[in-house]
Amino acid sequence: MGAPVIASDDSACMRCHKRNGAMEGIHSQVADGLSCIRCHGDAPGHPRNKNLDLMYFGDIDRNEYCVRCHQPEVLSEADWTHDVHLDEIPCSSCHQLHPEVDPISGIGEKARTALCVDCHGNMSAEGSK
Amino acid sequence: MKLSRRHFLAGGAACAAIPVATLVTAEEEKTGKNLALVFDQTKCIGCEACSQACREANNVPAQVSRLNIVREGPYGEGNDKHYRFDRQSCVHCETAPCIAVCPTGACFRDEDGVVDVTANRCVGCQYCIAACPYRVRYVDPETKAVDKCDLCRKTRLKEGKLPACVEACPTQAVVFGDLNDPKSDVAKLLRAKQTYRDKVSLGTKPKLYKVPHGKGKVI
Repeated sequence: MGAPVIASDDSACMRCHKRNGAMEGIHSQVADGLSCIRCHGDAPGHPRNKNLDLMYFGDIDRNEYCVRCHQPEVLSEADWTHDVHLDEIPCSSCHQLHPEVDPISGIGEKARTALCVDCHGNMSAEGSK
Repeated sequence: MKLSRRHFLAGGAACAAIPVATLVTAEEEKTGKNLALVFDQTKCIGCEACSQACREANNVPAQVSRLNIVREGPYGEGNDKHYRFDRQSCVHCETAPCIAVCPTGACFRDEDGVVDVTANRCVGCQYCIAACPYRVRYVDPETKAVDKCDLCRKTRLKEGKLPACVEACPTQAVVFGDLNDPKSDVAKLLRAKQTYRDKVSLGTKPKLYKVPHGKGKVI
């Protein structure tokens, strides 16, 4: 899929999607700023057509959109855990792009371990690794 | 009464024999535990919850550590990409070089088979640090005595709790128990799984058993 080029006016999106929050993070500074539809896609008929699949980043198959820019090798250098989670969980399980600062950045050693323990503890209680 | 040389010696020997006999019975009455750990490399995820819990439970200063998880990798490509994790901590040798070289008797093995250090007997000569083949001993920057993993015997074991690392592990990769008790978790695990120990050829009889990672490694 090529990069969507038609940038709609974000304020049109924000009229309804205020609770999703505007893009205040570092991604708002990429090139001339990423419009909503650059990541979330655009669909004719929205908002009248309610059955549209506008991009929601809670699914694992959305990771491919992130890795278009964020090369796995670079992610690996940033943090080794990317290597073992990239094909397992959505990026959004740990990262949030809308807030000004991604809450995962600089969380500290203990909070980071608590995240590991939280998921993996449940998984081993359920009997898988 | 005339005391002959022969009678004197026989009497002395009898007196000497009594305390020895008492000592032997006291030895037999002890619990007879032999505490050990099994570290399952197939379960460890490298989260380091164990080393953080250890630091907290035993007040280990930030500059040093009793327990490290060593990460190696990545190995493999794509979906198969994986890391190997190993545990580095005291292995509580049954024939411990640290105890053998300690000039003051500060290093000792307790009745449950845990190797430990009496801080106020340690003179800081660091012979034990040089002698330890597992490189897990350090000088505590506060007490200036040598210290290392004591399986939480001074902090948690006496309260009837498990060592901090065992309790903190989210995937139950560390198992603790008595090798002399066939029903203990370690004994059951050792019967069920193939394990190895580091540097057995040195004759140290280490008691940190490891379940190997299982995935091949190109050396």
